[in-house]
Amino acid sequence: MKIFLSYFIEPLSFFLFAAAFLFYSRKVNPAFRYKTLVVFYLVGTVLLSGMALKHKSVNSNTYIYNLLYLVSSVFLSYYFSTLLNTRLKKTTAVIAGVTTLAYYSFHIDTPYFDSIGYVIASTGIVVLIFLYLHQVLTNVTEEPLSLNVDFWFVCAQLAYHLGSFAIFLSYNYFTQRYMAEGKSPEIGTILTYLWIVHNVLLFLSALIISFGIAWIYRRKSLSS
Amino acid sequence: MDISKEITLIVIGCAFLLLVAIGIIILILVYQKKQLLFIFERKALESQYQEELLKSRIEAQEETLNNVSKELHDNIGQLVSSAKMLVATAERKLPDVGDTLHLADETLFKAIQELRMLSKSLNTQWLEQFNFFENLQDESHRINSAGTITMTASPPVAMSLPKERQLILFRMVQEAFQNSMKHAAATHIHIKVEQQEAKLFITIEDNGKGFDVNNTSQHGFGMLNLKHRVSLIGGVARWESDNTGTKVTIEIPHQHEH
Repeated sequence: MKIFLSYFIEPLSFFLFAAAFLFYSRKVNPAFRYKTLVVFYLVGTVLLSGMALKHKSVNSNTYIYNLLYLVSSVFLSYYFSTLLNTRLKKTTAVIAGVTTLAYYSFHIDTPYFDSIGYVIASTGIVVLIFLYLHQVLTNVTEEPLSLNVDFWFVCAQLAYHLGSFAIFLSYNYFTQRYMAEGKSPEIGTILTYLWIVHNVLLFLSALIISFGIAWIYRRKSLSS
Repeated sequence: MDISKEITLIVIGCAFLLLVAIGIIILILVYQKKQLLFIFERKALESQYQEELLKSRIEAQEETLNNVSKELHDNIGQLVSSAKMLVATAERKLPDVGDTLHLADETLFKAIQELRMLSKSLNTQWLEQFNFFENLQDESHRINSAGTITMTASPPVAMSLPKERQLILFRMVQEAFQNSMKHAAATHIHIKVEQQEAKLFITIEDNGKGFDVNNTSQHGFGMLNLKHRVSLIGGVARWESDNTGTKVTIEIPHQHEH
């Protein structure tokens, strides 16, 4: 179970994301703008599955993690810049994306898991999520939010990034202790558990978007 | 602090943040639902108000038409009848009645006939005694009798509209051909009534000079009136026009009686 939660739930979550977006762009809205999300999550599924299968023989997989996180953070910044409606909000999205990109330009290949980059990216994304929610509350449209795929995607990101922001902060603290205390097995266990909680959050976020898309599909089928 | 406590704290912290996220999502969904409810209620009230306003406006117009009809019948009609009687008396008294006096007598007779028909076509109570097609036939007879313009109408189709709606429909058609006569200088008007599924299509087509449909400054009071009336019975009116004529299509929901 521990191995499943540590390694295999991640590719499963990515696969759920890919399947949900594939279903949405095929069955619900063929004009969906972000069909590339399907490709991104499928590539992520393959990479993470490979890493999960070879977790015993591979010493450092931070390069792939950093790359996946960088791509998803930059995409999310771009996504929010198209979703947000004021110039200030759009600029915030661009700043968040550029900051993450700038950080990872120097820290893409690190010897250990560098969670600071993740904290920076998650902070930016959480800010963008709240800006979007503010926009949603101030501009009420006649279309119910529960039928809006953007809303469900943002909710999934909120569930993931709000929790993982705290995890990455703790991860950084425990990594420093782990290094300082000569790779103490106790701290190592805490780090493993932290990663398990992170993975569970990712899975919950995949469940939220899957539920949202299933909900939209059901409501649209009923109304048509 | 031992390891299990640290792990528990981490799990509790994350669970708390997750709950916060879920709470935010639920709050937003509930808030949006309430806002939507508020918007729909406001829209319903607005449309109810608009409908009431339209109804009262149309009632006021009907009342005005009734008054005009009454005045035409009781006042002007009586005066013209008296004039005709005087002419008739003069004809009887004069030994040699000229053509002019005969012509005046005939003209007064025509005027009385015209006035009566016009008075009837404006009177709500009178029109309500007949159905849409009977009123349309009378109106077409009245217009054709003047000889300046010809009006033809397609044969009647089964219509199960209530009297009140038939009257509104008749007033719309009246409005449309009044526009053709007054502004388009048409010499022929054709009215066609068609039923397609649950809808009734009434087209009023003339051979007049037409107008620019897109130019709102050319939209007169008659057009506005027609739009108001058609919206009151849940229909739509469309205008197509070029220099060979104008076609007004009135589309209204209609259900057959079985």
